[in-house]
Amino acid sequence: MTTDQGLVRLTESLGDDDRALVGGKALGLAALLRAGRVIPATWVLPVGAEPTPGQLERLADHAPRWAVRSSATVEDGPALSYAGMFRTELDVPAAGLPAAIERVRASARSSRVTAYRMWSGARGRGVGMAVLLQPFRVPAFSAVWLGRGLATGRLEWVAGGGEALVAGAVTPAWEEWASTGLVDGSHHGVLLSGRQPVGEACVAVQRTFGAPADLELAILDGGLVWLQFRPMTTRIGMAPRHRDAAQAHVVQGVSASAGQATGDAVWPRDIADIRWRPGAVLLAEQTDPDWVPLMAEAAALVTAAGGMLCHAAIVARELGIPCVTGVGMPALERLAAGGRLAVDGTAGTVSILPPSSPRPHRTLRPEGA
Amino acid sequence: MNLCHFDVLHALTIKGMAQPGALALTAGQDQDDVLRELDRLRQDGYAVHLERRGSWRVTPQGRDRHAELLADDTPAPARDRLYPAYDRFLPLNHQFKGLCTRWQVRGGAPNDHTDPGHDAAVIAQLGELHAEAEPVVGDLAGVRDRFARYGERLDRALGRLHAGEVNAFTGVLCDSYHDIWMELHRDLLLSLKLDRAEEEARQASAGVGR
Repeated sequence: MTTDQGLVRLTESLGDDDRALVGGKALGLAALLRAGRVIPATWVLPVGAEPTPGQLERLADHAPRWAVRSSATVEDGPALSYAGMFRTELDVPAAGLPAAIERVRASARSSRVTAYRMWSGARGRGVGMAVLLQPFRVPAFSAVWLGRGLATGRLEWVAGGGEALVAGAVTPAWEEWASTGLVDGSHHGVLLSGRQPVGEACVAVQRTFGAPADLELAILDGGLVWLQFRPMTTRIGMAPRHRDAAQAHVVQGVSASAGQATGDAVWPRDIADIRWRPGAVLLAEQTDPDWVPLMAEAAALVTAAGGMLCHAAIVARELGIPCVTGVGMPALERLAAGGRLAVDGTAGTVSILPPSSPRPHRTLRPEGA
Repeated sequence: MNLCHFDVLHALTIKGMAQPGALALTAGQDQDDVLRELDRLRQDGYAVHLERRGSWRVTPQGRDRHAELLADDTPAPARDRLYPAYDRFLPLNHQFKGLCTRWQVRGGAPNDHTDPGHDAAVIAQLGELHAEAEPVVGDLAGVRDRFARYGERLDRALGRLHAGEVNAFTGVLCDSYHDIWMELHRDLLLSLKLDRAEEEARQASAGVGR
């Protein structure tokens, strides 16, 4: 990335090396793109760059109204959060873009930011300010997610635009999410994108990057759009799609019912499968009511599909057995070949144990058909 | 078609393995009639009796036979009439599972049901959801009578819950609200010939989702 192209389209190729030119917010959006998440169409004006002739005029063909956001070289890094300290302008007409860009850049020099930098001891380094331009649409809902742990965090949301939410000027609806799913909330229901709880989507982003994160998002009529991603980790790095999951002996799923158990993996074809043994770890693609009698005999349950709110999770919690859902079909196939498994429903992991692990004596026999 | 034959095989297919009393509830038949029908199903190779468990289980042949009978019972025009109510069921299903989770878990730990205020609030929300589900189940019952039984059973489960029976919310294999709801969901998927992947695709294409 260089400055002589002027305005450039944000792509997934931006990485940590580009921070000095494009700023933290742009890096977070690029990381989301790499992870297959939906972000707004975004153009970046790198630090020190000016739009080349005609670039801003051509943007008017894309959209009539724009959001102009800061992406400071110090913003949204892992160490310091300047959240809300730099300027963002929303609903800017295309003709007003040059002036809005100038105001956003100037906010890097504002007294508020200077004071914060003095307080935080960051004053030795200069602030470079890149600017992000995105077509502006009024969302149906706006939300922020404050990640606490890999599967825990707080979602706050309001109907409409998110400016008041980010500024703390309104009392939002809220939801508390934990490894077991939704655990508490205000009485506004659960914010959904389509039929998926947004809280689940936020946890999924955290799991993708392996770290808690602060997230900003909007629900537009086309679905969920991520606006900001600030991970609580040292580097955003690449999304883990390049990881060779096929070799892993630990499978990560959704923590659906807490507790630990070990047992032989059994993936019955149906409930009459003679390979089933009470006390085994029941593997299933998904669970319908007819699996409940087997679940009642299982040491633990692992499913390919589902999340924290699926029927299997509810039944497993009721039975008090550990349950990990949503590991995916390839992982389930690997586990089925794995012999003995250790299921940690609290962490949402399933480990393939080495063959030498002690094997308890069994006297239970399957029911003959 | 012999209605009892279909109803009992349908109940057995949905439950997979169950005791005659539970099958009688799902099938809406007298338990003695259910036992007689189960024995006929066994002779035809459609069911097996697990004497030690006191349970009955459907066989793969029984599932095939059930698929034939269900195709006759709920042909394409009937399925088309079920779809609108099913589409209204899906968001309720999601809300319901969230409520179950709130009933089971508080602050990351199992709900020990020592806070009557919390439990009463969740039960009140279930009551509201029940009121929303009633017309949906009513519309389903307008297409096929068997769906009315889910409505009656859900009513009874809610009544038991109001009477202080904690198990009646998410209990397992006790005709709890969740037991019944899960069967209703399964019945819809079987009747509409949908699998879960198709359901997810349908959910994703509806509402504000992409």
